[in-house]
Amino acid sequence: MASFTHGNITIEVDEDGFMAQPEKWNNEVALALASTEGVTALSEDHWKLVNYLRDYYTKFGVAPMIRKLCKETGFPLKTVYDLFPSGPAKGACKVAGLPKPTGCV
Amino acid sequence: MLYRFVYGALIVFLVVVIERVARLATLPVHLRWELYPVAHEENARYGGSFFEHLDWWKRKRNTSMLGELKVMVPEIVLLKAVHEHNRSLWYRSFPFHFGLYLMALFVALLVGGGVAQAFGVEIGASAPSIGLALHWATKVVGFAALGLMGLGALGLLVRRLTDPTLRAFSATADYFNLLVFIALAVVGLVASITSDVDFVELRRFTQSLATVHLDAPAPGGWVGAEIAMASAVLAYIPATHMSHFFTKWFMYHSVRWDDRVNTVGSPLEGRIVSQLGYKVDWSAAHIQGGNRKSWVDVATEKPEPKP
Amino acid sequence: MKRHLTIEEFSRPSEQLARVDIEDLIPLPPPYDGYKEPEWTRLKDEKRASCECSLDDTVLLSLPKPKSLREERELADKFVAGLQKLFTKENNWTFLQPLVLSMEHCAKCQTCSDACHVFLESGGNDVYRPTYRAEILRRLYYRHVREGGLLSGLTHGRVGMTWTTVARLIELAYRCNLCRRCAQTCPIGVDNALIAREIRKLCSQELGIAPKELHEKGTMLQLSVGSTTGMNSLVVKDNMDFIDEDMSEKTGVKLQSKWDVEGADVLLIHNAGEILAWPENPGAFALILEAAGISWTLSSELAAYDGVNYGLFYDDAQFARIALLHAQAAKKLGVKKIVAGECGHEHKALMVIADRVLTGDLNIPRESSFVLLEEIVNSGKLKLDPSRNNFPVTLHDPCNVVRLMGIVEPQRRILRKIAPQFREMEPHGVDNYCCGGGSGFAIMSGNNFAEWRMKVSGRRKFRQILEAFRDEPDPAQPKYVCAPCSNCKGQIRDLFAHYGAKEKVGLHYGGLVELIVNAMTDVKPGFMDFDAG
Ligand code: SF4
Ligand code: SF4
Repeated sequence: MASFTHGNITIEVDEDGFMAQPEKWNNEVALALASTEGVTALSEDHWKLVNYLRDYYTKFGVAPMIRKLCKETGFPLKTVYDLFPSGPAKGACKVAGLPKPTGCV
Repeated sequence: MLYRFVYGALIVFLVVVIERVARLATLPVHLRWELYPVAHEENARYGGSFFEHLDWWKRKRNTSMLGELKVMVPEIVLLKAVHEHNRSLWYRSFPFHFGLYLMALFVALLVGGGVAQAFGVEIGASAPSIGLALHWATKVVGFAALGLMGLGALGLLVRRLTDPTLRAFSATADYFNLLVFIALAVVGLVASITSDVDFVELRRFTQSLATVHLDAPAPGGWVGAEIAMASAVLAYIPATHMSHFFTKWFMYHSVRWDDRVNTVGSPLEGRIVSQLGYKVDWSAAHIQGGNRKSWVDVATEKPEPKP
Repeated sequence: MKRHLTIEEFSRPSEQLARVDIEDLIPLPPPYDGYKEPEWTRLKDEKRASCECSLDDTVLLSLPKPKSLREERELADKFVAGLQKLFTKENNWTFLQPLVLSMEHCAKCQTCSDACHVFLESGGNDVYRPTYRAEILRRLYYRHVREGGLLSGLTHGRVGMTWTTVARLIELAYRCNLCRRCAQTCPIGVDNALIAREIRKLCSQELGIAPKELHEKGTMLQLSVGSTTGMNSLVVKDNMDFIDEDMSEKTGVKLQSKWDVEGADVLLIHNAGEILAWPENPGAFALILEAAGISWTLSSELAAYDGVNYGLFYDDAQFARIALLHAQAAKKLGVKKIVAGECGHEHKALMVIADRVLTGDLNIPRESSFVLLEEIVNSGKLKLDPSRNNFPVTLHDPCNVVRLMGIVEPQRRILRKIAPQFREMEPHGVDNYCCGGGSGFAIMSGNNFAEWRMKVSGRRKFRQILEAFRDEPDPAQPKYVCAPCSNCKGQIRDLFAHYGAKEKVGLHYGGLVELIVNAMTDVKPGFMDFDAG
């Protein structure tokens, strides 16, 4: 397990850079994780996406389908990529503190 | 003495072959692990299987023995797989293997000639019909066998010594094995050319051997050495990876082409059920067999997640 | 530069046994002829200090380094104990016969190496020879299982039994896709892929060492939650509802998936990853089955809505547990047959390997969806207009379904009917090359493993795809790689992203059912949307 430090917080992450302990997530952590994705500031749209993911994950224990995410946040996929260049699964989910998706996805 | 040695070698050969066959044949039925093309399938041409049919379990299967032969014969006689996938090796491996097949034929001709001789058939360059045929057949096959085997083995040895990859993977025994065949070919050729160019001496020996005349005089010198060496090689082969000349049968029929389907109430199912009762000793956290649990126990329990 | 490796040096500690220089890689065809792969991302020093990563340029298992010599010795001893168990009939009846045959008869001729895409594309790096890992296990076998003593060194060669050997061997067992192309060419019948799998198995079943993607987040998750994706039955139903809705909107055909229908003819089991990552696939399945009037159902039982069985790749016990859950669900519903969706390893696990695990009333007939789909396409129940698929299409053969099961033609006959510009890759059918994601690699990407999957194991497939479309250089012309397997799709997706192949060549990928739906005249045109993400 690796960890990285951003500002004054240290986060444990797995081999792919996803949070090792998703329950320790908070807004500051999100900012720190975003920095690893080349996203320096989180806009309102960023937060909308992140919060949606976070809520879904807390409720269902897994990340939502991408199409569902687009539909329910109203962002087309392209916008999601604009917000998080490595995409919804690798980028947005990571920042929202979700663990790495599992299974054949 | 030489007679006893040959009989002894023959017995060792048979015992090791039988022991090995028995060991392999009595292993449990394993899970299916076939590899297509499976030669006895209807659509073996392109590697198709019975799974290509809707409701395949309702259909009568047509398997073809001929299909297996069509693959096995060229594979055994011509080493087709090597020819197809490793041509440069084939130029060395094929003469070697073909030489060995001829060697077997040579021995058969010698034994056949010996037996015929015992029945009074005259064999030689001036003998009539069958005797003449046996004389020439033995002579041609004998020299071809020794020559091809020796050249092939030499080719293989040179390659094994000069190719850095092959060298890296070779153990002392791999060189030794090839050297043995080269030595046998050399001794055989020297013996034949210097003192037994028509294989008369060898045939007289196989005659005594076949008719169990142990008090007949045994050949000495080069011919004696040739016989002793050939017997030793015969006894040695099945103990090495060269046993593939007969274990290959299992590799094809029990693994690559073993697509037998397990059906309810079949003898195959019976064997599986009994094997599912074997006790398991794997000790990882998600199994912890400890020789207490059977495979059924393991398969039906829910593993404990790591603490 | 690559150098020749000996077997003996495998056990000697060094910083890195083998390396693949970018220059060693075989150049790709146009338009990638001038393309240079980026250099390897070097593993971090702290990683190298704390984990075993002395095999090659990457690392998958990240085994922590033992803290003392004593611990090293203990682990090595444990490996030997496992090795011995591997050769007992009680512990390994499942594969003992093929294993012994492969252990004892290799002629070390190296014919198999030239069949292996990993070896070839690495530029011929010895460490990736199918025979390299096998030969190490073979030498250990003769020394420690057959107890050949010192003589075994002469007759079979030596390799030291050290922790370094064990750590590297486990890692090396995960540099093979288990595609068995090598086994197909072996003149004797030796199966080096099986040996790789047996090494994985011994490590998992005895030492508890396996990639987390396969074990902890794979089979263990499936056995506890119901799916490797982490979806429980509520989530999966909710997602399928969403897919139904989405599909209905997109196709203009009202759709409702069937759940837990008792006595249905067909229990369809998807790889659950499809539902999350490629929802048009389960959607298209539902649409086709409904349109054809098939009596079918999905199951919401534990594990029965996820056809994945990663046990196939590394562990017989986990394999049997999952296979059993699949069969039990089918028994409970009383269906006539189970049909495997577009997932290669699900096919092989359920239809071939499980065949000698399931007995009595659990032995329920199991069939490939390709065969059922062919029947449907031939039946005339769907109105199909092939001109809707008038773009270049090629077919990827998932090793598990094709070389390992002999299901070769049904999917092709469908394509010949519905895709006017269908063309083959070379070689194809049972001689195909693996996508490079086989045996679960497609879901592994930790550290720089994804780079290895692109640069080395996936390179041959990408090369084949480029060759298949060489006559269509215009990137504005969309081209479709039909890959009827979730795992292969994951790998191909990553390959296309790595090479920017969508932009540069116009490459797209997807399954088989999507093409069928795209050709259905009852469906709104443009189901396949090449402009969307
Ligand atoms: S596995 Fe077969 S092809 Fe490969 S080296 Fe051994 S004998 Fe030759
Ligand atoms: S199974 Fe496939 S990847 Fe593995 S060694 Fe053989 S050819 Fe190479």
